[in-house]
Amino acid sequence: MHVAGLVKEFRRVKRITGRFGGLRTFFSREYDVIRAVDDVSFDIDSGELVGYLGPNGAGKSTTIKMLTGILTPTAGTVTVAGRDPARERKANALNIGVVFGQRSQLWWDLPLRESFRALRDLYGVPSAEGERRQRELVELLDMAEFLDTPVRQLSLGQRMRGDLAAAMLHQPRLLYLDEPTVGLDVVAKQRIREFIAHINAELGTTVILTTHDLEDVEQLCRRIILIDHGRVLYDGGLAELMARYAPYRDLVVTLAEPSDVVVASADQVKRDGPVVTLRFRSDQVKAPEIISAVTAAYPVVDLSVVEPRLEAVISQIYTQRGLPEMVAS
Amino acid sequence: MITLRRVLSQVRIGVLTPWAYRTSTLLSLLVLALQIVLYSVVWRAIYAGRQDPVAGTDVHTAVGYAVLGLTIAAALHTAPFWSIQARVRDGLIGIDLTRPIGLLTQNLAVQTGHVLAALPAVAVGLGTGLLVGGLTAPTSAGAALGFAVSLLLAFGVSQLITLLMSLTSFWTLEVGGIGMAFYVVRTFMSGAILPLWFMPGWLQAIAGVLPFQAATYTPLAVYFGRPPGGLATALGVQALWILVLAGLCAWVWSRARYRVVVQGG
Repeated sequence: MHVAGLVKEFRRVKRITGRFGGLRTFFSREYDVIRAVDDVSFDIDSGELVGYLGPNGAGKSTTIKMLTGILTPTAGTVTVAGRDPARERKANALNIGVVFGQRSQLWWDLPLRESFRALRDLYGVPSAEGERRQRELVELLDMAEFLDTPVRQLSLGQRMRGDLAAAMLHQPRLLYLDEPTVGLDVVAKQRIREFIAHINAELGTTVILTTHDLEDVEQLCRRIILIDHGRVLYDGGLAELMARYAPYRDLVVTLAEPSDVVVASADQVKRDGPVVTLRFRSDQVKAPEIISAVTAAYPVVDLSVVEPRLEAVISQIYTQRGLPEMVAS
Repeated sequence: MITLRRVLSQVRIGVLTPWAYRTSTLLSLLVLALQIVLYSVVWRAIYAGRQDPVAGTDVHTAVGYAVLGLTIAAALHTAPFWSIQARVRDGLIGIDLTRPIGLLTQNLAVQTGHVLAALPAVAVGLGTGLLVGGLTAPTSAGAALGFAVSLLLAFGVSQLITLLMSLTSFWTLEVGGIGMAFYVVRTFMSGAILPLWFMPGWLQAIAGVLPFQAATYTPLAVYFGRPPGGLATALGVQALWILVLAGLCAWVWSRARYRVVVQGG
């Protein structure tokens, strides 16, 4: 997949306030132009599992809609498996699978089984092959017990599994997952993650994952693309991102009696009674050195080394990059 | 082959969906039977004590028309608010655009399924008609044949009317009561309950320029030997409406698609 200089602008009719505002708005020809996606470029190779991240309103969904052919770009090009998704919508549809966590592609009133049947027919999956794939997916996602339940009666976790299977029945080369774990409990989330990892590893399906749950990203993605205000902030490996924005670790020590801690090559960043957090550059100093320095000088009851969380890194990036723009507008 | 399979999969969805709401569907059959009984009672009361026909219609024709009209409407007048409107409201139309089938094809297939699902209404309608003694044979063999052809065309007109109406929901989503208004106008102007020949001239003229009559009244008029403008003209007008409505659907969808695809809904 190749994306170059992608731009999407929306026009909104300018709201007119004051006398007869509603009526004047209705006849108005004045528009506000909102640039939801602003010059986004990236390439994704076959078999990659990429996290496409950004805060609410960053332009993630708009990008996904352009990649799937639902929206036409204002400028720039998208090529998915050699095709322009917006122009060759139906041909592109056969190559891709889409799961929108907030919406379902299943037929609401009918048993789950009927949705699978309809999708196998829609995507022209040969019947024996289709049945085999369905059996596999039913087993993998443990759906046997609710296969004959109408979709509207399924729990969110069951429905999500159904949606994932629905997107994989025609074995697309590319799978778009837009918040597939939203609203799910821990066990259900874990099951979805295992499934995503499985299809990526076993079938070589390229996966583009949008999520606000960074545990999804930590567990699944080697590469992430970070966008905000419609622009790419970061595109690269997850490990490199952590090294760049969080080249530190925290040592949390509990002292016998409350005190500040002063040691070389580590800074005290937080103190909460006897619990002190020390931050050190993991590329410059080894954890055991700091630990022995602290235990030599202070009466330590307990200690632990904490890895930086992706969440902290991401929120740091959002706030740093987000503020100047907000001031400007 | 694959295209046919795609279409049939959606016809199947259309057949199964109404029967997922069994009670409601069975109730609508009961309502149909009740309507037929009531109309036959009322027509007989109106005609009681008079020998001469009204507007060339005797009591048998009036009752027979009501039986057939209500039955045909129950099967062919598919509701436009099941598919596209609900999907636009819930933001699911985007998902439809990721399918390897066109939106119009998909919806026509689902509607065809709804018509097939409503076929029990034909048995109920004709059965009730038989019970109240309101079944009338077509006026001639030619009328029967013409009726069959006209009914097929009426199916096409009716489904395109439903589709066109549901496509307008891209714009009229917030307009309340429009569905009710559409239902009333369609039922009345299609001549499903009252034959257009009972209406005053100016009202007939209005009904004549609307597509609804081609979806119900025309086959009935052919059945009772009174095709408007002669059989050939009546069928021709129906065929013309199919072309016009299909063109309108394609045009409206291209506008709606622009709205969705370019402006993001």
